[in-house]
Formats: sequence, structure tokens, C-alpha cells
Amino acid sequence: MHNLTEVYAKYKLLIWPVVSGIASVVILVLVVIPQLLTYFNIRSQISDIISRSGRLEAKAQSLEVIDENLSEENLKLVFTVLPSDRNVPSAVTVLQSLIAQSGLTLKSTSYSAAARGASKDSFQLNVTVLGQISGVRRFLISLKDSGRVFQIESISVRFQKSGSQVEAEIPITVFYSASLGKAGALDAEPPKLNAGEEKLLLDLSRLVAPGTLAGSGEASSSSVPIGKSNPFE
Amino acid sequence: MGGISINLLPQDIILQRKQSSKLVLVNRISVGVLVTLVFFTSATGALRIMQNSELKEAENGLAYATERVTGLKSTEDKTFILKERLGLITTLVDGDQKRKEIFNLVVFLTPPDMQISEALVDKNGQLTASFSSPSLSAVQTLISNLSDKEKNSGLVAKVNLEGLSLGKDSTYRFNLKISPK
Repeated sequence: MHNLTEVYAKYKLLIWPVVSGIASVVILVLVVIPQLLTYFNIRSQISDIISRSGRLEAKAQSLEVIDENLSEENLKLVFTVLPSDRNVPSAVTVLQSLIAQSGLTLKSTSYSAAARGASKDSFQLNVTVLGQISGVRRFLISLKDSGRVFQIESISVRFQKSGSQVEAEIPITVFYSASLGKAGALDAEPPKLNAGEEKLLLDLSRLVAPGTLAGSGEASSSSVPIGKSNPFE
Repeated sequence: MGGISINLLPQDIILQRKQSSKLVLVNRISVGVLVTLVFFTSATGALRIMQNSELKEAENGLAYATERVTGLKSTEDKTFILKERLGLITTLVDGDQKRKEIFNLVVFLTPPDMQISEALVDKNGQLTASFSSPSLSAVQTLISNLSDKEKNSGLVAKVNLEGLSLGKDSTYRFNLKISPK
């Protein structure tokens, strides 16, 4: 006890500063610094959340503007022009009508599967037509304005010996696309049609008669019993 | 007149008083530091509590926005598919443009008195055609038209005349190989 009093008397000037210094350091290290670090962390977390909310709100607003019914109609339109399955009968019907409108006679049509290694979903219709050369020209021009995506592989025209009639063999690739894309992540930019796409939609709506519109997507097209999608198989 | 100050206290007591006043000062400073630190700690604690409510509010906002976007997912998917298909149609629709154009150009530029016996446009748009003509001037007209940049709409890169012959029926027969640009 005597010793303790002596030690206290000797170091009484140092004891309080040392004790308060140690307490200050402990409080700083264990409480204040972690609190401050967490504060700045959460600060940036809050600003991230706010900016993400802003982006999502903007996305929701731009999606709300889209007319659901118009979207459905446009989907039907693009699925008519570029169906999700082969829909060979529709392609043959469109071709037959174009051939007739061009003043040509359809001599034969044959079906063949797409060439190996073809990057896009497609099949080929080899068409042989008879008629005037001007009719063949008209037919080639009208293919662009048809209700399906056709692509001419080659053109072989032979004049008949009797007069101005020609026989033209035209292998035509008909495209479809089985893939049904899905929108990206929640944070992804909302899809928006650009001016070119709007114009294309307008052009397509002029080309495709409303009565011939397909169902939108797999679900609706599969619900209509149209028989085999590929009668040549 | 300057006053005279006389300190009659013993040196020990003076020293003890000095030490005790020093101790009081040191203790006050130590307590002051501690109090300041406690205040600072409380302030940061209060800040964190306020921040927590701010965080909760921001999270609620995010949850609401996420819910709104999720509710519009089908619209987003539809627009995405529409955009994707339109892009695909755009890339496919003009893939055969060159073939059609070169064929239509040759048919259009062929003089009326000349006849095409056979024409073949291959995948690359190269046209090979056999013609028959009653006059050489018509042949010349056709070739010059095909070579004229204004008349061929910039579609033709090269015109090759092959096997020009005159038949017994006074008809010129020849083949043309036309390469597109």
C-alpha cells in the first residue's frame, strides 16, 4: 500500500494523460475509424442504389410508353415476314401469287434443305417459271416486296425457240429464324426501335395483308393447327 | 510606486502547489480529450443511424423501381424480339440485290432487235449471257451501254465479249461475261 502511494506520487502527472491517451486510441481504433469507414462505404452504396433506381425508373418509364397492342401487332407482322418455323406452305403460296402477278407460269417447284454450313435458318425453293423476260424482271423486283424474306441464289434464263417466251430457273432461299431472343439483364438499356427499324415496320405493314398475319411467337403459331410445317419432309 | 511582495511560504509548499496546479491542468486536458472523443464517437454513431434510414429509403426506392421494370418484362421481351427480328430482316433482305440488279440491267439495256438466248447470274452476281443480233451496231450499243457508268448505274465492273461469230443466217452470236462491282 505504501509502495502504491509512492508510485502514484511519483507518476501522478503521467497517469491521467496515459490512461486518457490509451482510451482515446482504443476508442479511435475500435469505434470511430470503423464507423467512419462504414459511413463512407454506405455513402457510396447509397449513391449507387440511387443511381440504379434512377436508371430503372427511366427504363420503366420508357417501357410504359410502349403501346402493348401495337407491339403485338408488330410482332405478328415480323413473324409473318420472318417466321419462327419453316412454314413452307406460306412461302409457296406467296411465291405462287408473285409469279401469277408477274404474268409468269409456274412450271415446277422443288424443295431442298439449306446448304450445309448455312449461318441462317433457311430452306431453298427451286422455281422454274415460263413467260416473258419482262415478267421475270417484274418477279425479281416483286420478291423484295413480298411477305416473306426471299433471297435469289442465281438466275438461269433460257429463251424458248418459239418466240419471246423464256424459261427461268431461279433457286430461292427462304429464311426463317427459330431463335427467340430474350431481353438482357434488368439493368440493360431498354430496347428502342430506331428510325430505320420504324420505317422498315411501316414498309412491312404495307406489304403484308392484315388477314395473313401470323400469331406472335411460338406459342400462338403452335396453337393453330396448320399441318406439317414442311410437307416435303 | 512599486509594491513589495514578500513570499514567506516555505519552498516545499510552493513546489507542491506548482505541482498540484500542473496536475489539475493535465487532468483537465486529459478529461477534455476524452470528452471530445466521446462526443465525436456519439456524433459518428448518430450519423450512422441517420444513414441507415437513408439506406433503407434508397433500398425501398430500388425495390419499387425493380418491381416496375419486372412488371414490364413482357413488354421489354416483345420489343427486344421485334428489334432483333427487324435487324435480321434488314441484313437478309438485300443479300441478293446485286444479282437482281445486274440481271435487270442487262435485260433493260439489251436493244430491242437483239435477243438473249441464255443468261445465267451466279451467286457472286457475275452474269454470263448468250446473245444473237442481226446487226453489229446493236452489239456495239449494248457493250457501250454496259460500260457507260451513267447507264450501268455503277453496277458493272468489267464486260468481257467472248466468241463473236457471224452465222449463215446473217445473225451475230456472242457471249458476254459481266462482272459486278
